[in-house]
Amino acid sequence: MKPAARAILAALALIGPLFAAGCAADDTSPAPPDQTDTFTFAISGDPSSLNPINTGDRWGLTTTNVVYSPLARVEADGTVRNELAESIEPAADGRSVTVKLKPDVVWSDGEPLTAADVVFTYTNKAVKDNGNADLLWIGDQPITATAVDALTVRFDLPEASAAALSNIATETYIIPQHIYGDVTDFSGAELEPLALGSGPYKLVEYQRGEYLRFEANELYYGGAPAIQHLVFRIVPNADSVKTALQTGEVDGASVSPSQVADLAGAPVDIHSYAQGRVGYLGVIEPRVPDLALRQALFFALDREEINLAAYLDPAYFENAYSILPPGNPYATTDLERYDQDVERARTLLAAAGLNPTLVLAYAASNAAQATQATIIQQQGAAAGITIELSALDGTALYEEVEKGADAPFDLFLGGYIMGIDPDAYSLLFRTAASANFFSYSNPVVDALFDQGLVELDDARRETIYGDIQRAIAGDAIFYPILDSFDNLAINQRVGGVAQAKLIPVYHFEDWSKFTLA
Amino acid sequence: MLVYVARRLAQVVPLLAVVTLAVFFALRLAPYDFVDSITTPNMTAEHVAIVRSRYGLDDPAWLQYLRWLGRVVQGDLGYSLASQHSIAADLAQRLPNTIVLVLPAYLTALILAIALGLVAAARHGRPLDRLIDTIGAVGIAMPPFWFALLLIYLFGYFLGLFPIIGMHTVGDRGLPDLLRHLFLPYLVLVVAFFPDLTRYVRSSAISQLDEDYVTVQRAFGASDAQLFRRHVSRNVLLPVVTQIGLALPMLVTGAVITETVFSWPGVGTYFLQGARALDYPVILAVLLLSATLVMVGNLLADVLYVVVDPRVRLGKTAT
Amino acid sequence: MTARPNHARGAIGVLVFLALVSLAAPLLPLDPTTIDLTRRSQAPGPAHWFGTDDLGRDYLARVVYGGRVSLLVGALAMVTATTIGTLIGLLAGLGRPWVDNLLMRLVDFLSSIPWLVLVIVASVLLRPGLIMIVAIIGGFSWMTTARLVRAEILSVKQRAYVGYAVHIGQPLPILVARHIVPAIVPVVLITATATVSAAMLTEASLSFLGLGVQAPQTSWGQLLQTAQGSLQRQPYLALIPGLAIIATVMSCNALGNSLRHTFLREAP
Repeated sequence: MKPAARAILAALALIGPLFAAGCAADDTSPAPPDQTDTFTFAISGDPSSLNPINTGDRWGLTTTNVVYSPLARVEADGTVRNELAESIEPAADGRSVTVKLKPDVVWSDGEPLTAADVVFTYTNKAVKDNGNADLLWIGDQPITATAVDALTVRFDLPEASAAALSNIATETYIIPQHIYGDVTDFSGAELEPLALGSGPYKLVEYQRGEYLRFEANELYYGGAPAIQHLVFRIVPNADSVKTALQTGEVDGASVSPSQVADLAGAPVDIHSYAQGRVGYLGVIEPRVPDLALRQALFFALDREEINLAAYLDPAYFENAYSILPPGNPYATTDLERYDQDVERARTLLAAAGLNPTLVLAYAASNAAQATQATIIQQQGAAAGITIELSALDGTALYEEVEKGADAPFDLFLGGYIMGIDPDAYSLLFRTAASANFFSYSNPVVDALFDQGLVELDDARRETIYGDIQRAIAGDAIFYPILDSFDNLAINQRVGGVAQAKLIPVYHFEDWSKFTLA
Repeated sequence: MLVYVARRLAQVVPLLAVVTLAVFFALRLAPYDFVDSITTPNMTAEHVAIVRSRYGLDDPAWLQYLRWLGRVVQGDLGYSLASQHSIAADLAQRLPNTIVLVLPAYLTALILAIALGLVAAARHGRPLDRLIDTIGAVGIAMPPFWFALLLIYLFGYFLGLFPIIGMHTVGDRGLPDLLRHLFLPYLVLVVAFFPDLTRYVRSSAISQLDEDYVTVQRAFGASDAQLFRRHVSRNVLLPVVTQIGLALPMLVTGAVITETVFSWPGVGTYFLQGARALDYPVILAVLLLSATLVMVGNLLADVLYVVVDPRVRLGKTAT
Repeated sequence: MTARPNHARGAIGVLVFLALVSLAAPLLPLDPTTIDLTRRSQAPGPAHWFGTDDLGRDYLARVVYGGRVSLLVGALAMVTATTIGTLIGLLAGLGRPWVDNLLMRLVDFLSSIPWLVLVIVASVLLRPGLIMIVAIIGGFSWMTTARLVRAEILSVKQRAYVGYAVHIGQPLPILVARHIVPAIVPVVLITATATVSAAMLTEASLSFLGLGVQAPQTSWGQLLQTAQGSLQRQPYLALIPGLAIIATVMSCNALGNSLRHTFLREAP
């Protein structure tokens, strides 16, 4: 069969070079040349916004923290660490805060960073339509910023506020007025040019769905980064991330507890830390208006079992009982914990004559949530509550949740990291607040949040926030599940992890501190 | 010939009109307004009104349809709700990536299919034929993503020979790097494409063997080899050429799942991402693009068929 | 290699076995849903023949119950598609020319959108669940059946004896029962087997993309998707459902081929 044989040869000829190329390339270079000066970190999706004025998602904030700098940070233990600020002085009456900037800080284009840039940033961020203004408002008035001189900014507060310092510092990254001064609308997801800041790296290329590529900012006030290139590789599939860590295709990524075991033989170290996160089961209040049913549901659940199923071992999580994460100094244990009590759940249901079916939504791409949902379904069934599961796209889930009573589900799994100051949690539980996914409204809680914000005495604050936690627990719209630890797998060739410092949300406080062996 | 093409075109155009109409009205039924994709919360009501009238959204539906059609013809597919990017620009960036993956895989599968199909036909009923048939049967029954998982396990993890994410190592746009990334998804697609094609070639070749001219040639003492070289392969290959037209739409959506498994930045992953986030403009743009390609591909297949086999023309005119 | 009775017999054997196991599953000592965190990710052994999954559920039970769903989707989608396809084909073949034209344009229209794209869009827009998946897959798979049934009717109409029957004024129902039905049965049966295969593979793809049935239900595609995460530690979790899909689809296709040989005496 000569013609056939020839055709096969032709076919092989076409495949052949591919094989050869594959093997040859593998023999000569396991990695391209500039890989030796590149730190590649895997992220699970595109940042939803690269605009520092309104970004609020994990990858948007992580990217912002690489390119821009804040005035200061509030550390996990509540201490304030200055960044662009040289000093921060709250006034004695609590009505203003004066910030002096470090001298000689420059933007990555060499222009000096001044008080005008700070005022420009805070003024735009306080515009409600720009989408991230809540923390800069006290009651119905915004915090205003004024330049005292080239390096001094005074923040004026409409009322004395204990949370002001934390709220001023949290998640606000200073943007340059000389670049973005002409922008009239800061509500979009991207600015033009894409990014220019005073952080350790400069964003040089963004391929949507593929990667963000950064180059060292030699002018960084914290000292030029040791590694010239930084890459955020976008890899949505968690299993691909694991394999890529094993092969060295990426140097770092956040991994799940079950993947930690798989990575045992790989050249990576695991760094675990408590994120101050609260993973929860949320109830959309108007969809489940019956308090007895909500309480029955909560009594049906066994937190410990849910957590062990999804996070394998207590080394990777801590049970949560309140809207504040277990490590938060204001978190109270004196509240209704809803420890599992199936009998009580049944009694509540029977008394109300209920035989309920509830729909629980979760993010399809989140393996831990899928497991939690499966367990919750089983525990609900044991108490006589039928729970239907609905796996949705993460973005779609939050779009649907905003519809409140019209959402196509009653319960959902979620999580948040809101930091130390308890006022930040008002974003979730105050009536009509921007992240109140529960459509929850309790005037008592609203009033307590108002009091807590302006109360300067710490002991009295603790009482107020204790009352808030008890009130919300009593309303049974929010079932805290756990503080899940973040496990960062970092290739052993990368040094300086301790200096870069692990922090929630942003993963690392200062990305300039890494070194390559 | 020209008359035939013209008549076929006359059939495609109304069909395209129906598809675009359906897509357009699906767009209007969608729970968002086209304007939402280009306005921002900061615009005043007056500004939004100006934008609305600029895009003619207060005009009657038929006029809007014609305008929308005009924009689509000019390559303006609207904006993504999620990213507010121009969909046409995004597609222009991703389409080449998909073609780079699908085209070589399809051509390889085609060549492989021709070779295997002819061999099987020549060895009709003998063990080699059965072997090829069985391989094809397994190939057809195998979910492509499952095969992809096996390859990832074997080559990506166990042997560590090939990268399994994306198209390039970041910062390396070189050809060797691209080929290394290409290999595994390419292999998955070849295995997904070739069984059907092989069967097509094999059964065409076998039916050729039953034709009168083969019997006549045999009677004149032609050997099997001569037969295949001179007659059968030619007569089989001509209709195979027409298959290429039918494969046209695969260049866009032929690798949705394979692209997903390997995080390949092509049209498939773009579409799936859009579909999951309910990004209607993106969904509709991909629907429109692929429907158009199917129809153009069918037209191409028919025309090619007429070109290689003039008898068809006579047959068609008779009806 | 004329008809290969052995192949057909083997295929029927596989399908009958799967059908029996699926039907009898509730009678077997199998529990696919009970979670046991003390027995997670166990290797195959006497207690659990296929081992356990990451929540300690018996994997054999999950494969059996997953198969029930996969086979059910295949069978129901086939019934849906075959019913719609046959009806549309009959209407087009027997109806007035404008009906024929309209229906065939509809078929052209639906065929002009790549199938997976169509199915993915439909599954994203509609709420997932077993019934919806059957409706989506079945509702978009009837076009080939309709085309073939119509073509078969047109060719039957051409035949002399049918012309004669019409000529002597046989009423339509009798005409259909005597001549049309016997002619289209083989075509319908053969495409039906192909539809089962296609539906099962589509269900697997949708589940793999996370658009399939919802827990606690599972399917072979769903099991494959989950197994992706433990591919390194427990590759057999992915191998078993994958092989099950391949065996089922190959059997359906072999059955279809053998039907084709038997009915149509077509070259293999």
